[in-house]
Amino acid sequence: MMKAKITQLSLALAIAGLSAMNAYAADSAIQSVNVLEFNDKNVLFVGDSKSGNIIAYETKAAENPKKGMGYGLFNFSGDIEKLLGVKSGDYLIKDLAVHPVSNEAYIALSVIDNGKYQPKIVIANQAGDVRLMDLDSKHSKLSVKHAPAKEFMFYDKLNSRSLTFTDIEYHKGKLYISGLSNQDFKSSLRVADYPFNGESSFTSVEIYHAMHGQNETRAPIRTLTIANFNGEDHIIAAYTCTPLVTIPLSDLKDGKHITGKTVAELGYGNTPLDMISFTGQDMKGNKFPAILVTHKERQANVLPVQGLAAASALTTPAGFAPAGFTGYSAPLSGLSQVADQDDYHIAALRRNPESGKLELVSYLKNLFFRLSDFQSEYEMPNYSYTESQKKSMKPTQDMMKKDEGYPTE
Amino acid sequence: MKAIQLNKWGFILLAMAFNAMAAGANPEVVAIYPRADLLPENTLKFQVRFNVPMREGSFLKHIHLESESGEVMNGVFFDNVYELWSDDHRQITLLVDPGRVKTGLKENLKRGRAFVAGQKYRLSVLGSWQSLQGQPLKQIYTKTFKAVPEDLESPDVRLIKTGLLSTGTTEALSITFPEPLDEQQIQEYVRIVRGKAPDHVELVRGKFTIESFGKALKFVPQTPWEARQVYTLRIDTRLEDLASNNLQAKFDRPINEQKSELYNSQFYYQVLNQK
Repeated sequence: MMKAKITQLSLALAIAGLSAMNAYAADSAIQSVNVLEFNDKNVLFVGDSKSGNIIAYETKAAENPKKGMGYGLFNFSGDIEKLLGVKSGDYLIKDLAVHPVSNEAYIALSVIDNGKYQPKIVIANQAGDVRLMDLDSKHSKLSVKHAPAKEFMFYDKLNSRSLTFTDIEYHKGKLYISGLSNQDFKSSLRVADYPFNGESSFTSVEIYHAMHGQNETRAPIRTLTIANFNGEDHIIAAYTCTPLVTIPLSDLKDGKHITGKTVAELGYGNTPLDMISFTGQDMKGNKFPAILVTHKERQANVLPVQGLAAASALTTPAGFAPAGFTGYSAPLSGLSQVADQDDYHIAALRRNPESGKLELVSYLKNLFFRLSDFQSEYEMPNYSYTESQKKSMKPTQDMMKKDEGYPTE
Repeated sequence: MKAIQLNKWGFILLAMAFNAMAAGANPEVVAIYPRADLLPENTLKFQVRFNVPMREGSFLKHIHLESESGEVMNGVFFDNVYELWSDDHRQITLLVDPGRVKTGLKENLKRGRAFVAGQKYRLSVLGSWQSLQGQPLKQIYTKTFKAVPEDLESPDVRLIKTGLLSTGTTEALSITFPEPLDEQQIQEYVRIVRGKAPDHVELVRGKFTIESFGKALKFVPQTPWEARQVYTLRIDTRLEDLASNNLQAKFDRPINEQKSELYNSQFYYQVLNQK
């Protein structure tokens, strides 16, 4: 009899323990971190796919003595593992964003803890200091969950729907949010005001692709940015099978289907990673607004906005090469995450191909490579620069060396 | 004495269950969707459901696809940057590279579709896949299927058949679709409502059971069907067939083609008749 009581007691305790865990999970501000995006000041938007919320944190810009320098943290995975007390393989990297004021890098992680993936945001600076962000710090929330969960109570099966946020873009007081559903193959583009007012609008975007004339099709948006051309702001959206599409913001209307204009196909068998609007510069020093599209498999594309404005819609298949307005390529590849860092840099996470370590590094805009990634004859002890090289190439190399933290002669 | 022994066994079983939970028993695959054996060659997605939350990252390493002759098929599933897990991390959606499924995209023109009508395929989930606790799958799980000709049409709502309601009873209502539909979506998108559609409806509580791998459905109401009520089958028009044609539109649609009447509607309604 006594044992029976103990059994009941232990079961009751176990259930109480589980309930306490659930209560804790429900109380915390955030259940997952998938996408990070800063506004132009201190607000960090976090796409929490698990709860279906966008959470806006009011961050404080920390002192960062090396602000403006490039990142060169070559054992960043070691730094993360030491900070969190976890093994490699027990966490996933979800996104990277750079604080526009402090220039610190924010890295979204999913960490296995207590039988669940738990959200964490690690903050790093160029000096290699790392710390955890307090996810219960001051924030506001917007729910963009599509379906009311209560309806599923009729079923004895668990609801398996999830919406994964794929990108968030902040532009002039509004958030443009793209998502990918595990159930419906379609676009989901939401627009919400910030500060949040509890509402978001939803537009279903279709795209053209070419075959027997033109077809319309549904497809999820992978990454997006906003550019102004022809006197109007446009969304530039890259799709999962890499068509590049432009949509005037004025076309986005709640609950409507619209069709974007396909201006390029950036190549098959590839997934676009991210898009960054920046100021491009050509060899003659002319500056122009441009968009950098980085890819999982291919080299990056630089798309001058002027070219996008003039691009005509793709109507016919053009062989297997990339087609339409593809700009020019930049030698960026093998990156897992990229983010706009400052006027001169983009920050990126990449794996060292030999050690497998995660690296947090910066690339100079318009150059798009790291000098120290290459062994060149210029670095040989007996190499002497010609007079013309001293004028044209050496200053650039010296600038890159300094930025990458190496001594110059 | 007997009662004490039973309690002892109960205690031991409970202890074993807790130990298994702590150590993490080997996870299992519960189902691979679509469960049908015949799949259109433009099938867009598969779902693998596990009994416990699984680890994310490099999902393609744990998936193996081969033709009937044993030829390994690579490049079929889309290597998405995001893995499409359900919120409970027990189910992953595998998308067949949409560039190959859709007609006219470069990948489709160059490599064609992965599946060819008449051929058989084996999709295996490998033992290397680990649970969150770090335990590998108990065994290899395999689904064998045969490809049938492509499906380029939306499910025809006029061919959705419903049984007659037996008022005063909680007898099951049967619903039959013209073709197998996505089982996950059926759970979410099909409802029975009462009242005047579309504006004054209320959900009828009850339980659905999916039959024939998504081609049919049974609904048992919690309370008896009432003779004076109007009951209606309500389906969200985003409901897709196995090739992702939904009730609103085909997956691929020529631009000048006339759009379906359901193109901009959220729901399709069909009034249910009483016996």
